[in-house]
Amino acid sequence: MRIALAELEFDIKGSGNKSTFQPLYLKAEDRNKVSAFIQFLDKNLKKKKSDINIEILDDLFPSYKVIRALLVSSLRSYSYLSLTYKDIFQEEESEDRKATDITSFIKENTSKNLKISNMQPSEFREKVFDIINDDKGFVTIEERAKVIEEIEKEIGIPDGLLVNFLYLDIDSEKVLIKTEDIDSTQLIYYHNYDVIETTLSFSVDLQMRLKSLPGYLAKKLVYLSKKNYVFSDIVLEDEEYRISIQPPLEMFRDQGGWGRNMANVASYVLRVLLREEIPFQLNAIVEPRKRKALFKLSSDDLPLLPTFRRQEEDLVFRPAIDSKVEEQFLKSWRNYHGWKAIPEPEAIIVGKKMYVPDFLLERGDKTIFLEIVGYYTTKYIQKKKNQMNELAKTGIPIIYLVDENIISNFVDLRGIKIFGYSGTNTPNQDLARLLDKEYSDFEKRLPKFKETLKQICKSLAEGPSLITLQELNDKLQTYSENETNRFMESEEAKEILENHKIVLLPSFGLVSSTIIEEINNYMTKIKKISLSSLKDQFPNYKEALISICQYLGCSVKWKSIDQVEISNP
Amino acid sequence: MTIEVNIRFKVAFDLIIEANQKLEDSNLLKYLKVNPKKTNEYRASPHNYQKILQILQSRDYILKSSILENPKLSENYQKRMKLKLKLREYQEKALAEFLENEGRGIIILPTAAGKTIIGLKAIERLQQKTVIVVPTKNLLYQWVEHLTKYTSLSRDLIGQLGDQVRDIKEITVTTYDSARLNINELRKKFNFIIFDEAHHAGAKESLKVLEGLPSAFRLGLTATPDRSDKAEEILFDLIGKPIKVTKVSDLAENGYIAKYQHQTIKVPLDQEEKELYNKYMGVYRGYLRSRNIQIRTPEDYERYLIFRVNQDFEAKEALNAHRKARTLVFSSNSKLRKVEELLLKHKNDQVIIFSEFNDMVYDISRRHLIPAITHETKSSERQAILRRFNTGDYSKIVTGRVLDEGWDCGNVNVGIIVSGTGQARQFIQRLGRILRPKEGEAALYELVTPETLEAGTARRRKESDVI
Repeated sequence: MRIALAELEFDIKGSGNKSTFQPLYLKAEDRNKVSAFIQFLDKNLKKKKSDINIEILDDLFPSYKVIRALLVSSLRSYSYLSLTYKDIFQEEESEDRKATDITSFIKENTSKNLKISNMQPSEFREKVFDIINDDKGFVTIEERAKVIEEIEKEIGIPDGLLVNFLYLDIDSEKVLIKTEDIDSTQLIYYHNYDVIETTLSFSVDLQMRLKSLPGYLAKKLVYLSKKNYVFSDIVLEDEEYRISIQPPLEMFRDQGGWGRNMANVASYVLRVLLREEIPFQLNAIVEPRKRKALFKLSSDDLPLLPTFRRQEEDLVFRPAIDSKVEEQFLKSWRNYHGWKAIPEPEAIIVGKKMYVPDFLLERGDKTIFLEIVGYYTTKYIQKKKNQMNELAKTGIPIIYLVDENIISNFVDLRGIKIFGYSGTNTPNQDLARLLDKEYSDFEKRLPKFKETLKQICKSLAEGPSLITLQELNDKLQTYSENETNRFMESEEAKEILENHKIVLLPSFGLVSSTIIEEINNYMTKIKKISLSSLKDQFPNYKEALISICQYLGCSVKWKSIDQVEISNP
Repeated sequence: MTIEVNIRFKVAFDLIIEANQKLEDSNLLKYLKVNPKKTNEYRASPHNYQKILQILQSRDYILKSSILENPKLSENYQKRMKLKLKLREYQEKALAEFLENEGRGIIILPTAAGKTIIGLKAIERLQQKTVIVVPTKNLLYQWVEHLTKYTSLSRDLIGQLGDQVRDIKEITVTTYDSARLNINELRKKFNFIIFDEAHHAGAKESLKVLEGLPSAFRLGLTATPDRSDKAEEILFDLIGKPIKVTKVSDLAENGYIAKYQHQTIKVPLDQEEKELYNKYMGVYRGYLRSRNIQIRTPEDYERYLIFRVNQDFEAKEALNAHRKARTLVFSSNSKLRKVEELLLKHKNDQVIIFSEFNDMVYDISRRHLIPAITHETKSSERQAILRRFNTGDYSKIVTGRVLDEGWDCGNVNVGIIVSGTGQARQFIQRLGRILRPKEGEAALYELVTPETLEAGTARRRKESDVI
């Protein structure tokens, strides 16, 4: 939780490059004071915000800001809530009040109390002001009590409560409630964590060193960085991982504008490190109120902090798409010519560096990485080019889709597969063609296709029978219609068809030649026939009749949507 | 070798200027910063785009720019964006001066003088895609209403950013907050920006909107450009020079706005409150004396008291005492009694009561059972109260600051200022609430507690040359 800067207690020691940022952490010896704070809140439960005088606690700590910060941290367990009329009218249900017949049921439900209890405060106010504006639009002090009494009777609320009811929903009327128990130690932990998170939200540069780096953390770091438009680098140096988080290069906007984004990423990493108890060191250049200082945090010398053992939503890592073009790409490539795009795949380790491409394309046993390059800042382009060159040297298959607006920056790269894209339109067909050409396993699967086709043809010949192209695709288990066509055009496929006397009708599928002969014999005896009559004649081959007739050279005329005439050639 | 220059945006805030060789023109370099990471790349603040463009165009550079590629209104919009009203003489004068100044300037006119109409006419004349930036949701809807009422634009042709709507069209109305959050979208499209209640644009966060847009044409509209932080000079630089063509008194004289009677009523504290006030001010003044401090400006107050609070325990006490004294003076019992007197005097009039303090607003509301509007009032309820007040269903309302600006209040003819700060702006805005053309005179009452710190406050707010 973020604390307002004006309420964050800190000091900046030293000057110039030697300035250090030192926030105030609470310690174990502050437990009693924090307990007093919690007791104060507990004593004021159900009191209105405007009636709670928090200022009397200001002297509990050397700085009143600590109280303000604790108020923020305590929002995990306390909150201010608007009372509703239902809260006020709560009544025990008595035996007598249970309706025994329809009349008493109706009577109960039209009681005025129930009406008010269903009202919103704004509706209640409108009712009151409507009554007042029937007269002169206000009441004097002299007539006030009498008017209020009359209104209370008219609306049906207990005496003396109208004024309380009037603004039940406004902020200062909200009452303090407790949502869960918290002890002083826990509150100290949360306070200190919130202080760190707030401090990091003023960072302009952040570096961390870790002894170990779980794979899921690396992936999430890259994902969160992209989502927050900051740059993260993960480098293995001297058996330690160095993570750096930096904002985009901007010279005309306050650098502090990205601190929140950086804090989002760094806070997540910190929570994982605390949970997994991984040793680390963090150095951040922070700039609160335009004065730079170094903030340090080390696992050797941590303030009291929570361990975040309980399940958080970010413990379950679900790769998510963080840009429109990636979203569109994933949609198109869920199954594109048999290729499946898997977002945020496992990281690639090259030397000391870790990369997490955007997608892994998978088909059969073939896999290729794909990265979408769309950021525009100069720093990113150069970084990307360096990375691309490094990866190219490893021989790891990877294809890049680069935004057309910046593709000119990449023309000098050699031996790297790059396609341009515009907006959210990726060159899917070109990409598929390249993949088929360079990453195809067609030859490897050809024997299986042949075997399957033989079996299909055997069964069709014995039938005699026919199958559609879709059924053929499914049985062959090809990746796409294109692949089916590629196979069926091969010499091997043609030979199998010929051997089994099966005919391929390109607009239908496979048909046994026996069926074709049968229909041919019938057609030679007639000049013309309607499709519906032909279907009556050959009910088992209804779907294939037009294709068969066309194959036989008949002319097919569509007189209307349901009137087709077939004539002998 | 001819210099080729390419100007574009990337994801970050800055304008990117790329050249095929180093730029050496000193006039140009005034607006640029060299990118230390890349040769021949420069960065600029987007609001300087037009100046940079002019310099580049005057040289023999080959220029390529993807900024604002299609800034003119389409034919459909041009046809419909014709004002149905004729401008008044002073409005024409203000507009003419704005256009003569290359479509830049802040028009300063009293509230109710028809600044919105000038804005609409400016859109018609310039025929550029326009974004209108306003400080509140109320004003957002008012602009939308004016656009549909005074031109042939239908509602579906007017874009909106704000109040949970994100719909950008060739003419779009947005709040300052939404403009700031959507700056990357706005900078691609709009070559004309109108800043309504332009003094708001001087706030630190809002300045990012002014600096982040490359728009050539900028119009500010306000009754009160002065800011307590003196940021109006920055506004003049980023929007344009102030354009003042008339005063409230002149407009009232000519019947454009209601003639008004302004009365300051002295309301002394009662005995008990006076003693308490003296006690608090004693603590405050004692501290100033002990530290030899003189408070002359709001900055002094901040520097000597607010920022010292942490180091100096007595500063905190003095600050608290001063705050309590202030609350007492601005929300005294005697003022509450005076409010009732005035309500009785004007029982047949439409009355608005202003107070700086929300507590006071709710006090008055509970005391006299009058509808109240503060920043806590939900949008739907606020609109319902205002609508009923405009139609006369409600004859009295009480409000905090939130109604200060831009609200079209129809028939109000009495204003009571129970408490307000010394800023001239606030006073003028409140005065403006009752200055709508109608029969009879309008009355504005200002309740001041004499011989207290409020007396200085009241004097400061009258020192404004627009009145």
